[in-house]
Amino acid sequence: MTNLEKNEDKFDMRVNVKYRKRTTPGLGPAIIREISEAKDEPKWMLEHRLKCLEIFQSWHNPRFGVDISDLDLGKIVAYLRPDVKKAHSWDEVPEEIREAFEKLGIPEAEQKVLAGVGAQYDSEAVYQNIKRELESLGVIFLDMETAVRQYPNLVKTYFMQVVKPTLHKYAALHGAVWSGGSFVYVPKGVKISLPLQGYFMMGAPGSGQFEHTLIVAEEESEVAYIEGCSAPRYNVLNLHAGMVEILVKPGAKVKYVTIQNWSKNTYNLNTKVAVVEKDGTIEWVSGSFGSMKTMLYPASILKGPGASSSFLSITYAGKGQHLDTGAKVIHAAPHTSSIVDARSISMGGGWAFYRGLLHITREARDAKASVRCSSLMLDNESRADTLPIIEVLNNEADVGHEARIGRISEEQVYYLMTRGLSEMQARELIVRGFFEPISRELPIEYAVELNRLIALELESSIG
Amino acid sequence: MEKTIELSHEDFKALVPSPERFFVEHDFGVEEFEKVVRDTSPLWKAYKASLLDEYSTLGFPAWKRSKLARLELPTLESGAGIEIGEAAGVNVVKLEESREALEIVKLTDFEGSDRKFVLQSTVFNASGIFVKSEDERGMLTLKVRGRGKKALVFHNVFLVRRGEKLGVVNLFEGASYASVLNRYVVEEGGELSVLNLRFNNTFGFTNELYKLGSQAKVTVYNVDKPQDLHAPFLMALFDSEGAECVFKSGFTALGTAMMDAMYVLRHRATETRGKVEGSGVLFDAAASVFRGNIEIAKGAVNTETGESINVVLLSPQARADSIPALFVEENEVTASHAATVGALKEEGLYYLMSRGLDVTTAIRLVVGGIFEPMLQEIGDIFGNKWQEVAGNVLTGANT
Repeated sequence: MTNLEKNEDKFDMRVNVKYRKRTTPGLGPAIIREISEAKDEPKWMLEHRLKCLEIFQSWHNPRFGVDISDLDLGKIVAYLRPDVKKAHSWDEVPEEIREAFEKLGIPEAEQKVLAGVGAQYDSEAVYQNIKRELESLGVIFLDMETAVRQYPNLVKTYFMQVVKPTLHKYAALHGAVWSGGSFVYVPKGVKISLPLQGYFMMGAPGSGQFEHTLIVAEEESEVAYIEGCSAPRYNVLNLHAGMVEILVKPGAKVKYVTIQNWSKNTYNLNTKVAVVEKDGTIEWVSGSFGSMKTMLYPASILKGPGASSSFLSITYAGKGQHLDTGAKVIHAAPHTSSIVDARSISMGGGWAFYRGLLHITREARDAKASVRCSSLMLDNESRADTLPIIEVLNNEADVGHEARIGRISEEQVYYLMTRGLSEMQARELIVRGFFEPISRELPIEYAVELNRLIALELESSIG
Repeated sequence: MEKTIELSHEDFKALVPSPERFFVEHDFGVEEFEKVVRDTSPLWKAYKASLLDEYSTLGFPAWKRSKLARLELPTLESGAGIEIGEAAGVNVVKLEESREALEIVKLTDFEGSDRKFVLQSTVFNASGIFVKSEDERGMLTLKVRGRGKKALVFHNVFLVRRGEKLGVVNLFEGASYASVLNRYVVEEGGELSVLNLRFNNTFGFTNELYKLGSQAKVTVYNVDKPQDLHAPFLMALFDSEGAECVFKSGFTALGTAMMDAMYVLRHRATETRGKVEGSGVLFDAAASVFRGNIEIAKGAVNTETGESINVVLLSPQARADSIPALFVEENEVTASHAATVGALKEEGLYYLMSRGLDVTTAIRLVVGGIFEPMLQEIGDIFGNKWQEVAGNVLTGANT
């Protein structure tokens, strides 16, 4: 239990930051032009933004999922640029922002376990660095704005091609006001052994964060990307509507890890889609701990024969949280395979809702898919739901699904207590065991961090 | 009214999509209403009249997964009757002559697969019945056979009184349009077994509510072979402790037929047990949607509930959708669901063919094996005759 020391201060990143640019709350063509101008963008990107704004304004809200009727976009500040220059060394990052990232252990982790780090505070990147040897192999790891300017053709080829702005209202909103995020390009055959990381922090109350991450893994390449998100808690609502687009070319392998710990005043309406070509692999590892309301369903479109997807997620819904999360997998080619293992914990009155779609097309002969949902309810004040939709359109697919909702077995708790653990320690151990498939997918520093987060949440809920 | 799905928790609510609606050219209205209430008691007439406006202003649901856009509503067969076969230990009266039945109807108002169909059956029923158990072992067989291009609309109420038993066989065959509404109330310690046989109906909409008293036991077998579309909806309300309900479904669909089924187990009392089990076989370009919603309310401790669905596709054009859902607000429970969709195991077919059977016979045998456990149970409860009828529906000559 020694590594479960609680340190709540670690997760309070509230700092005083000056802003160079701050748009007025709300949305409109003038604000979009202001954002585009501040970023010195090419004309095509401004046109793209304005088109997305039109779609956003004409689109209806989602008709399922969390209730977002109290989200007033007229009060959200879409663009906030901290008054800092983007740095390539942590020493150049202003102290107050560096401190916030240091509390999360990002600079330390970069030295030990990462191949590169991008750090974003509110709407803009404040730090970007990649190991030199990767640069020399042709790997591109840039903040999105820089990529738009330095590699306009490459970015234009892929930007919002996987996720069209017409997918849903918040995809269109994202297209209109996106800012920051990462562009990752891995050339053919390059295998990056250590993960890259993007860390996104929302610092200001009443703000929106709309980072765009685009990963292109060329043939037979490999890359892992870790995304971390957090924000201090304020009394007004924040909105996060990020987007992740991933292209996995033939034989390539991409692993995308997210640890989301937005503060509990945040609406997290996020969109993540990967298109996987022949024999490619996408692995999603997702931990959703924060936010007040979340709608997040990472999607894998298995487009090429032999493509595969694995999705492993943990959703933790505590007091004041309604997290509607899940996964979508579209098998659109023969011999494709997928696994979904979705776990949730609800406690302290929280509501964890799994919503998933597995769609096997006519063409996806010999597809194999399995969906497994497990929910652990730590008290009877909370709620756990699962709603998987399975659609099978051919007779050569093999599809299985199972789900289980329950509580911690008292027998297990008693057994551990007879071995000398306190009841709290016993429960913590069982919960950690439930999380274990996720934590073992993380670099050790992050796994320890995850355990601390769980311990902190458990202590505040049942301690 | 008992809504089909409502999702909220503390200060949060989740959005539930509602279908687009459409109107048909000749929907039932005042003219049909006047015909069906001719022999109805004033109380019933007033109740039905109070729902007519709601019916008239509500369109039919444009369900995303079904083919309702092709729906044609034929002329209402206002004189159609239910043929009562075997009847023992039961009291049967015309529904709309009974004040007691009306009270039950008011107490069991529900939304069903769609409010439109529940209202349609309630308002335009002409010859439904009210059945009361009168014995420790009551039995009743009801048959309706379609006649030409007519809409058959029925509303029946069943009451199993405290400590009594009732077995009901409902056979509904060959209608071009059938909207059937059945409400079952099973009082404390009562036992109800139902066998629903519905086949070769072009459009069929069935809505059934089961309200269970303490220690009540309900077992329902649904045997379906739709002609074009059958949309059965069954909801069990576990309102008192110790109640048990099992819904078992077997279906076969051929051609472009579709099964669009929804089963709801609503546990809101302690120590209740529920189960939904489905097995289906789809030929040609047939399709199925199997929804199972299991809900456990806060306080419904020691609920044991689960759902499993297995669908076998026998053609590359067939389609099977499974939507098993759990909505749980109590942690001292056991709740699970499982689903599989796939092809017939080729090893089994090859083995049978190696023994000299042609492929069609081999498939029929394997399909028969899928339904065999359910058919056995039907035989045990309702007798060999009904086991054979059910077997013919699911695996008969034309499959």
